Amino acid sequence: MTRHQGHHRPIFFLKISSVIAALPEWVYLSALVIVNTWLSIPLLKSPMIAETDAYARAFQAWQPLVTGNLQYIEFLNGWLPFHILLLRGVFYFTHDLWTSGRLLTFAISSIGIPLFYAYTHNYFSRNIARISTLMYTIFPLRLILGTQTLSEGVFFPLFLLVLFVLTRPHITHKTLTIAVIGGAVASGIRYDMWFLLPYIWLHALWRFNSWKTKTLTIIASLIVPLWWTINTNIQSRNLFSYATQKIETARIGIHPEYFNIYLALHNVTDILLNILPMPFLVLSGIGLFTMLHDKKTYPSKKNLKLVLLRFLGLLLPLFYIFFIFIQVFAGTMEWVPQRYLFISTSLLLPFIIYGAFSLLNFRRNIGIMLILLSLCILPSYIKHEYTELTTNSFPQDYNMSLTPDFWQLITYLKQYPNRQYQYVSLPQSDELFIPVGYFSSHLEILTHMMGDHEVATDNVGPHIVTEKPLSHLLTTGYRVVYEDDHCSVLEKITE
Amino acid sequence: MDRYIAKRFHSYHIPFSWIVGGGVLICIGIAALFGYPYLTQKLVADPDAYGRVLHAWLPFEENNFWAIRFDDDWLPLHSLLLRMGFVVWPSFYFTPQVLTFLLGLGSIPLFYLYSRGTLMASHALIATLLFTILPMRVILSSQPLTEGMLLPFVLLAAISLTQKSHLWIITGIIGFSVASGIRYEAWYLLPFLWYHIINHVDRWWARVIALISTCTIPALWIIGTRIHTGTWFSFLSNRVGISSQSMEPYIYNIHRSLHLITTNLLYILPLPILIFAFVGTIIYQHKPKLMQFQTIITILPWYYLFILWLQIVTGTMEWLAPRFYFLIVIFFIPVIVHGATHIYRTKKILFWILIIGTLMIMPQYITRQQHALTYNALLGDSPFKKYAAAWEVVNFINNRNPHAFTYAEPPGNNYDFVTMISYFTKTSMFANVLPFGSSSSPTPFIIVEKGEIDTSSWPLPTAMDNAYFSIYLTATNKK
Repeated sequence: MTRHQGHHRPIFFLKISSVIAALPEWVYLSALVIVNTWLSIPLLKSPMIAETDAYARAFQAWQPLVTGNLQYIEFLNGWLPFHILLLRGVFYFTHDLWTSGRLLTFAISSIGIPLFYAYTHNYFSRNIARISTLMYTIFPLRLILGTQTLSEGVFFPLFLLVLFVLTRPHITHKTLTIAVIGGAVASGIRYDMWFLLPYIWLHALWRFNSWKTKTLTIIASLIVPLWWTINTNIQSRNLFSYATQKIETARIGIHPEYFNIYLALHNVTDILLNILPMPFLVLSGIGLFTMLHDKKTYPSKKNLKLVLLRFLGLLLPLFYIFFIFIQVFAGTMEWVPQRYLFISTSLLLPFIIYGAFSLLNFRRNIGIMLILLSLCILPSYIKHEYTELTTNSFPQDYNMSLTPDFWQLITYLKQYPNRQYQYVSLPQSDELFIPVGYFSSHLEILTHMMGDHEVATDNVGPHIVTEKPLSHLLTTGYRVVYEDDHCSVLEKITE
Repeated sequence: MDRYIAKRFHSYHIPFSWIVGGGVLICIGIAALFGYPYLTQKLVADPDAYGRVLHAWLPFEENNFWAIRFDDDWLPLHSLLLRMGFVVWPSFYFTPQVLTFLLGLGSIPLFYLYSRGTLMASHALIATLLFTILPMRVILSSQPLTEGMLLPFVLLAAISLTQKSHLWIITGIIGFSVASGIRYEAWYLLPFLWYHIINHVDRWWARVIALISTCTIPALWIIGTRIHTGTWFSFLSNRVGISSQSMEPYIYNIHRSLHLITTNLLYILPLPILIFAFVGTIIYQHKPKLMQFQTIITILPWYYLFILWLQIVTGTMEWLAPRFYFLIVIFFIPVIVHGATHIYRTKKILFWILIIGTLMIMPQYITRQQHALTYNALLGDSPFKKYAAAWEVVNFINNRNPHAFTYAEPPGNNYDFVTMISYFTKTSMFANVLPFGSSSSPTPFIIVEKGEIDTSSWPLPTAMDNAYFSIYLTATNKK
């Protein structure tokens, strides 16, 4: 009997949870992995996500293979190297630019499901952990990111591994080593891990007596960040080039939010509400608040340090949202796609369930209303997330269509067969479409790869849409077929 | 049952003390001080403001004082009230502004009485102070828009929900009747008012009279529009066509419409303040000995928000101006104060975090509210400048220095193109109300989106033309 089961009232939702609770753990988790596979197969079979980062990451991993430079690491573009190296390793064996990368992300992302359960169970009852893991499995943002060549799908399981080890009631040298290794790998994939380092250090400092363990943990966790910082400094002569290089783009990209607390907060909340609509967010807020105040959350009450560590662990989702807010506010974030809030929203999922149960006990009517509203939202929410994150509603987007330049551009593209602006098609065989205004920084990467490295343009499709100031960079092998004040469409010259 | 209801539904006594009276007077003074600069400036760049004045002015000028346009979506009492103002002081721009301003000042003591329904006197005074300095209230109370004028009458009706005396019920019905002739939002109070009347008016005939009298204005309007347009509820169906284009992504899409309405609400009530509101609502419902009218007061803002959402999701709302949230925000204030006081009592650290967060946001919040509500940002807006077509229009207007559109000087805030388009689309309404031959026509330009209305028969010279918009000069400008 868990501590929450005692409060349950016999209503429909809770009956479902008791059925879920009856299954053995391995059966339940295997079933979730199967559900994940079943939901991911259509995504794996469909074209890639409409985001140039996915293409550019794959390109960056692929190009050095063409020149036989397997260990090549690009220190200047801001992307940490381990994800690229991982992709390159797979490409090396499969010689497949697209499918293998996505399969790799899918496999690693699937491991995240049991890890998510294990981590959640450290804080919550088995019931809540199980329902939360179910939610995590069908979470559209996770499903989509788990089938693309983006870094989030690979990063998050490692992140969960670290959290799982750290939030366990008992921690040994062996498990700490696993956490540090996992953390070191994750530090080479996304900067988000760097923000967690102080939390790892606190665990080492407060839960171990040996100075050797403490020192080694701190040093080991800092190796990758230091190695990266030093190398970028050597090459760019700027200690934090990965942060400062974004400032210029950020100031243009999210100009109104720059140094504006009110608008930056609104921006982040807006995106958060896209991923977790209002009823979900309210439930998670209630869940988090209740959990923080529940004395049962802190089993080792006498040890203040352990209480504090547990408290800080609960605040992690807010901490990550706050970091995004700070970056938007400070102008080091050139745009804010939904996936930047993937960590925080995933970590909020168990709080939604916990909040729903708490509210049912506290204010049953409001609880039922919010749960029903959440269920009503689900169909349009899932549909919207799939449109927004996969095929991207760009050509059909109403707001875009009101903008003359975009409208002209789309009209132009529509004259071609539909496939021409289906930029989600595989570039290897079809075409590459770069949504205007979104990805100028990545255009430079592509340009760099195509120009300086004499990349075979076979990998890039017949049409490239660019922002006008950048079009001159892409002229090798292409001719301009359309141009307005803001954008150009380049067509590959075929002999 | 009656005894039970009487026990559960006893009203609060409205006390008077010199401190409360002084506090309310100070609030009125602050409101006058804050509102005065807006009276000296030009009107907000919301075409509705001009449209509303024209709607009242033109029949007044033609000595057709009682003219009511049943084929229009706009309810008639606002126009009639403005015309009454014109009789006293026939100043086209100034009279409507002053009238709204005075009614805005009058709404301050009424808001105090309304807040007292759920809050103790000192907290109600704090709520009244927040109400007084709310940027949206300050701005809307100095413009010839309906929101500022609606407020005191709606508050009268809302206060009557907290009182069981017959005098208050009669006052509430009168307030409601006037409000229901100004904006449709007042109609949403009907179920609560009926419930109140049924429970508190003892004699059956008095109940029937009271119930019928609440329905008079809405019923007259519905019948009038039916006679003139041939359809019931033409004021709703009229909007379906426009909203099916302008709000297409949100219609019958629960997630997106809810997202739209929430993010827009967050512009007016930023996150820390909204947290107070959530807590206030949930905690208040948990209060022992909760009286029914107090429940009504705490759910009222959510109820109004729900209806606004319903309008979007069903496609009867063609655009979503910030001022559509006005009543919602006003009704939220006592709930916010209640939530804040509860958090202060129980979690002081959280209270101070939220208060400091709110205070940090405030300067930029006020600036943005000024820009958003007065459309000051229109000309200085940098994303907007990218769109050559619209930019040409604004440049043109700016160079001509007309009375209507020139006060958008302060640059640098966020405004999107969609808003701009809605703005221009809405201005095409002028075409419906403006007598082009009239030499006294007060609007120098008409801006029309191409294809929006048939302009081929217009006798007006074209002043500017691009691929998307046309500007026509009116008789005033020709002079």
